[in-house]
Amino acid sequence: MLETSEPMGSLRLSSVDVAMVLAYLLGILALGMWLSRGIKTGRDLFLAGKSLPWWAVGASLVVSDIGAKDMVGLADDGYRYGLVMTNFDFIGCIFPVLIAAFLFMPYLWLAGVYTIPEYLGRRYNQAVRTLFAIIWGVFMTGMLAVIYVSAANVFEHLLGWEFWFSVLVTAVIVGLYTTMGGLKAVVFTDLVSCIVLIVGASLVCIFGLVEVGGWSGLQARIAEIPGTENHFELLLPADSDTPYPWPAVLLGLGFVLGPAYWIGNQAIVQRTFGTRSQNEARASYVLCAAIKLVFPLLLVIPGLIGLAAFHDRIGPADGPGWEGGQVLPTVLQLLPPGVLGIVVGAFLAGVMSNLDSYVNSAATLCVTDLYQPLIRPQASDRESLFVGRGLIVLFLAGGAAMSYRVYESFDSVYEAFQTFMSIFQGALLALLLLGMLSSRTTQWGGLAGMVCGVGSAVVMHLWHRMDFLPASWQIDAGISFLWVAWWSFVAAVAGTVAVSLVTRPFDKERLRGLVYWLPAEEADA
Amino acid sequence: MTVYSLLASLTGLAGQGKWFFAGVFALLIVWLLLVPRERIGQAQRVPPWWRNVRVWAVLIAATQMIVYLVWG
Repeated sequence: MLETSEPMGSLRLSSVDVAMVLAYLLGILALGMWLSRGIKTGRDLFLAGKSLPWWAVGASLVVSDIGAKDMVGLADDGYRYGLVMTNFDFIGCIFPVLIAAFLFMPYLWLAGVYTIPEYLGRRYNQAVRTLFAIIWGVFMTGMLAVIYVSAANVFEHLLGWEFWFSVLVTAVIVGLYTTMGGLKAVVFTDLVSCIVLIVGASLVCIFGLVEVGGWSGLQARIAEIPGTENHFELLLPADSDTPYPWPAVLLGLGFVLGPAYWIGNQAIVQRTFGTRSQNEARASYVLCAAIKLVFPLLLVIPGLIGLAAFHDRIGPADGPGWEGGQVLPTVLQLLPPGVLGIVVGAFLAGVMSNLDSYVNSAATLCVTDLYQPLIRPQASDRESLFVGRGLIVLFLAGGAAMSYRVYESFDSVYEAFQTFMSIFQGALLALLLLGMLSSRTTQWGGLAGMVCGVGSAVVMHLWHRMDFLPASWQIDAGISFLWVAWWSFVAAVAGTVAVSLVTRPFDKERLRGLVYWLPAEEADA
Repeated sequence: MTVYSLLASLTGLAGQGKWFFAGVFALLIVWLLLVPRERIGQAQRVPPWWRNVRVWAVLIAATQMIVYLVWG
């Protein structure tokens, strides 16, 4: 194993690295502010005036998915479980993204919606729309806190920043360009971030692999470590003791969580609604899938490098000395000055692109699905712009306020969010699928499906562990969340179909443009 | 061992995941090839292959199928 004199958590940047990081931060801020010219309406802020090119949106989709928590978390899980983690981007992303590209996104684009709950409201009814908007709003606020904390954890290791300083810097920079430039600034800064992220992650892999003797050296070193027999297996046997046996990955991740995330997650799909045409919406998703062919390897391989090079220092995963979030910062110690600056820039890129996507989408969702229909139906577009900008600031501040609470119990809270997603993702996917593919699905069927899906997921989680919430947030996100997602999806489908069969559907004209088989008359450019 | 893994062991499918994963991508390729042209904005004319999203989508799905067949 490698021996370095650098103790864990004391990595510091050289002046060259600091200069590169500052240049990146200022460059992103300047680009975002420059793009804020011409933002005059809510449509400009939330959908960039439907002017976004497919290549920028495709890159933005990638980095909206991959944030700081994923970079740190995937390195940890790569160390712990190996290549099986790439499935989160292979079967969990590429498969649903290609289906979404040819089935869902063009129709959602033609429907002219701002948000997914808005589509559900048109297809089903206001109750379904409001409930999903509230669920997503709560989830996104918590997600912002998690993003702040995961960023602060690594900045502490890399730059020695105090927790609140880290939160302040990210909130101010993201807040400035997102508030002023909206989705357009988000997407174009994401494009830069995507390039920086790919370059940075590639450099970590290249320098790390050179250090451990190439791919064969990596395999040889890991083979000497007990309990790593399956680290180079893409699929683990069905009777594996890990949380990722292949049937759970296929059914829970590939068929439910992945599609629900890539079709129903507002923070992901919103940028696609801002493309110039439905063809560009489709192309952006295909580009995202192409990038995802290599991206997961760049995030998981650093975990394997950490295992090969630093196993003596980090110790066995989940052993007494194991501490979540330490693998990536430790691996970064292998990088020379200058290169480290690029990689830290990549990390900042991941933080900001993730944060700007969620905060912009949370504001869009609140204005479109809660403020306009429930509070101020007569609100003008200019008022929506004003409220949207105010909400961006509010969400950034709210996430920051929650972040210290999350910081104190980060591991369990991160797991809690995975569990929380599995509670509503199955129902969301069922409603989107049945609503878009069948005109026979009724509004009451949709409501029943949502209740069955969410209700069954809650029951399954309660069944798994009686110490659910207040005890100590000890939520086991192992195998259960994948299976809960699958079975709640099945329950939601059953509930929707059963009630739809005994209730009256909308007439065909009412559903035109909302169901795959009933396309809108309009043809886009 | 969960009831699912027990079931997979009993049916002899415990280590056969790669066929299911590759099969999913094979079905996806078939579906991508069968989507009518008018559904993907190509009713008037088919673009050259390098600008045809259907071609790129099939290539990506085929790459995934090979990945699972070789390394699954």
